[in-house]
Amino acid sequence: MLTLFRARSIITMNQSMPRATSVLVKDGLIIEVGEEENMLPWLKREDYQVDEQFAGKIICPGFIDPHLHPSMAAVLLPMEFITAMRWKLPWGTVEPSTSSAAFDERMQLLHTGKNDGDENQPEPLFIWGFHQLWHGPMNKARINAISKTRPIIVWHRSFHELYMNDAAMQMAQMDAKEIKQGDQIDIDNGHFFENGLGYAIQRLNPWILAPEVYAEGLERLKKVVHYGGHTSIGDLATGLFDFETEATTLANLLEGADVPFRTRLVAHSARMSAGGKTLAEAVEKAEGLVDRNSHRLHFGKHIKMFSDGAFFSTLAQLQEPGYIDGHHGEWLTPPEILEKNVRAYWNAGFQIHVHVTGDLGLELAIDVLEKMQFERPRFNHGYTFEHFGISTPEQIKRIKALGGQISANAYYLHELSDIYAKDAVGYERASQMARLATAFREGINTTVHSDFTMAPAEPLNSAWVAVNRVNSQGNIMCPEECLTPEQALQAITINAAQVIGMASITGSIRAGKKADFTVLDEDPLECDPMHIGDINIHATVFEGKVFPIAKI
Amino acid sequence: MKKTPITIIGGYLGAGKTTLINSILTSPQPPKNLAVLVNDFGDINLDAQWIKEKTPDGKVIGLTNGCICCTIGDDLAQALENLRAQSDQIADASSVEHILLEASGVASPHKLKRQCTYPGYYPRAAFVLVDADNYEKYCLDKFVGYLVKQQVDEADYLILSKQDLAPTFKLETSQPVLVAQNPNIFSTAFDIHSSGPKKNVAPVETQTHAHGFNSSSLKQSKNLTLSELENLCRQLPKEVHRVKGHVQIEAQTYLLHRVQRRLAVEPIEQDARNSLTSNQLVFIYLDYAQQSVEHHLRLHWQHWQQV
Repeated sequence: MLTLFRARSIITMNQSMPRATSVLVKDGLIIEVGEEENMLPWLKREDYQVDEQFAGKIICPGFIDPHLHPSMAAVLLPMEFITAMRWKLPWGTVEPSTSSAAFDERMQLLHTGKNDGDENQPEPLFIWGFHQLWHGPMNKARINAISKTRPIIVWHRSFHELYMNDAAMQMAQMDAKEIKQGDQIDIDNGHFFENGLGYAIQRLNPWILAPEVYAEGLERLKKVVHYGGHTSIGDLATGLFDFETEATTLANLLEGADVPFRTRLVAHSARMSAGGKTLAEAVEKAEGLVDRNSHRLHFGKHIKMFSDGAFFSTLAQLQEPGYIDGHHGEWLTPPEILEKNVRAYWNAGFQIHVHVTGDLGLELAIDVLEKMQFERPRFNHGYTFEHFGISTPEQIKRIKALGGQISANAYYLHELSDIYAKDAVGYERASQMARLATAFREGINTTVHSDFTMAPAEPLNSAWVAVNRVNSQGNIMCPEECLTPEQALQAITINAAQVIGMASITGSIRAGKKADFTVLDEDPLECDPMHIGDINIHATVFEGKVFPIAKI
Repeated sequence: MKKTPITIIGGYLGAGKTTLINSILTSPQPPKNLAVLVNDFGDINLDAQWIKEKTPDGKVIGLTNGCICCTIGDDLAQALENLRAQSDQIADASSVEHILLEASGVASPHKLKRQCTYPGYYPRAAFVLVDADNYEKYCLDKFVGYLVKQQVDEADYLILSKQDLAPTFKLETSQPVLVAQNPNIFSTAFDIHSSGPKKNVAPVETQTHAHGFNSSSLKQSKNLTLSELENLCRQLPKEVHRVKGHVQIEAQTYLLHRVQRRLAVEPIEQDARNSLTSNQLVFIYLDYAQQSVEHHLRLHWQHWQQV
């Protein structure tokens, strides 16, 4: 049925016609966007219905997050959040807890509010989001004070440490005799970190990775993606934990008429090579993945690789002057191996996505790209630098020259620039992380992502950070790199579509594309830029079908 | 609780880790009850003829010579758990008594050793292979220059490989350097024997000609105080670069490690102590000073017996 949607205003992201007031949709496709009086040739030919539900609203192209992790989300989302930043979740906004007392208060509330069947064996409470900078020192005694009988596990926001009370250690069958005090396990304080965390996770897996919990996590992820206003997402990288399990679970749970978004699946290159495969065999395996494609789940000629370590853990590799404390980051792949892997996929015509966090990690990825262009030049290869924590202006020029794209985690700036300025790299480089305006000036296709669960899966929030560059302390960090609201909206729509190789079917509103829309109560290009992150998302439309979003 | 020792084999790409591990895995008489953790089975290129059996998930394999081989994947914790859980599925793997861990080419030995303090395990030593042909070039590399130097600094023992391609290469280091072409490399380096009584926990240096170094071992026969020990160490000639082993001070056994002038003495635990057969120290010194060093030891360490 031909449907005419009327709106207060439509932001098309098509520069040839940036604004409109009506869009005609049929069978999930956009027939025409523009002014209703120009649509008569279509409207004369067949019956149509007028849909006024968005008459007072703003219609944008469906938002796109080109880099998040459904599997990580599936593990994290079943947990309760106590966080220093605000997290808008579909089942309730978690307001920031920014003190020790606030953390404990919420922990107490979550404990008493949990209605379990069995008083003698209460269900474990998993909490995520703790950070000592906000919430003070954590230890077993503090958690015991909340409950001695309920197992409570408090995960650090970084995911790299956790704390347990006695009941939790008992539940996880942790033998104090087995554990030596100090092996990255501070048993007296119930604190497990680095390798101690590996031990704790092994013991907690029956709860964390229980199939029904994981499935529940994916159901929640579906809601989170929808509520964030997404109509397309990128899973970078499928196979983070286990390729077959993930591919199968995603195929079951992220497919179907009730799923209001599509997913570009980008395989983790190490999983393609696993089991002693030669690179040629790995490439062949990666090429064959498209056979698994379904309506909403698409492998394509994309592959994910890793350069340097995690930004949240200060394991990014830096050029001079390095870190203040002199430590070095980590390589996730030896440079020669990264080059070999890139070459194999480059020559097979793939779009390669490389995780880069520090400017030395970035330098490696750029050097490799330059080598590839020298050996076998390609246009439109789409080589994408993912995360893009710390970079230099000169590197951005090289990226432009070599035809690369940038997918940045703008949220790093909000949550980490203060700590990075004070402890890690100093003010100059910290304030200039996420060098987005320069990237736009050079004409590089640039997008922003959440890397959920590292940042909230809210494109409007990412856009807000990119436009205002306000950090967690309320300070504006390097206003020269602020994006305009127009650029930020491009970053979460058409530019993101380009990065996941879907720009021909979505990302903007024009005839012939999928009818993917995000419907807002307010206009992100007209409102106070500081307000962008707070605009209410009224609904999404995915391939012509309306998916309302209940007000939380 | 009994802890299983882990010996780490590290070194940058091309240094010879895979070759070394392969030679151990395909040796007709490998060390008994040995498990080898590798990054990926593909790296080591094992012919089907060597494989006796595999666990259903393919992560642990039993070899015809009795060794067990296990993949690490991304997660050492998981691999150690897998090993514990599944090694008994593989016949002949009654109990793993020693683990060889293939480090990733970009790993820091110190960091890896900390990971090896996983409950039930402890890091015995980190061997780092150094590529004589390429080391100097790598030291200048803008990406991994700091890393290859750090790996050498953090190693307990160094193994020089590809000397035939770079016969004049000399590694500037105070650590003991073994040579990969040495046919006894793994019994020398790893001090694991395929039969015989259980060896002590401390890595015992051998007399193998090291690249510019010799060593002497002394066994303690009399108790001494910490200040006596410190005094003795202070008086050692400068050609003695390193001292390592166990000493008894009063009622407690200590692990001693002296590198040049720096002395570290750490108490060790009951269960590790119980597996020591004697307290010994190994002295590593520049080979041209052998006579004068041995003379000094005879003179000043007179209560200690030559081993």
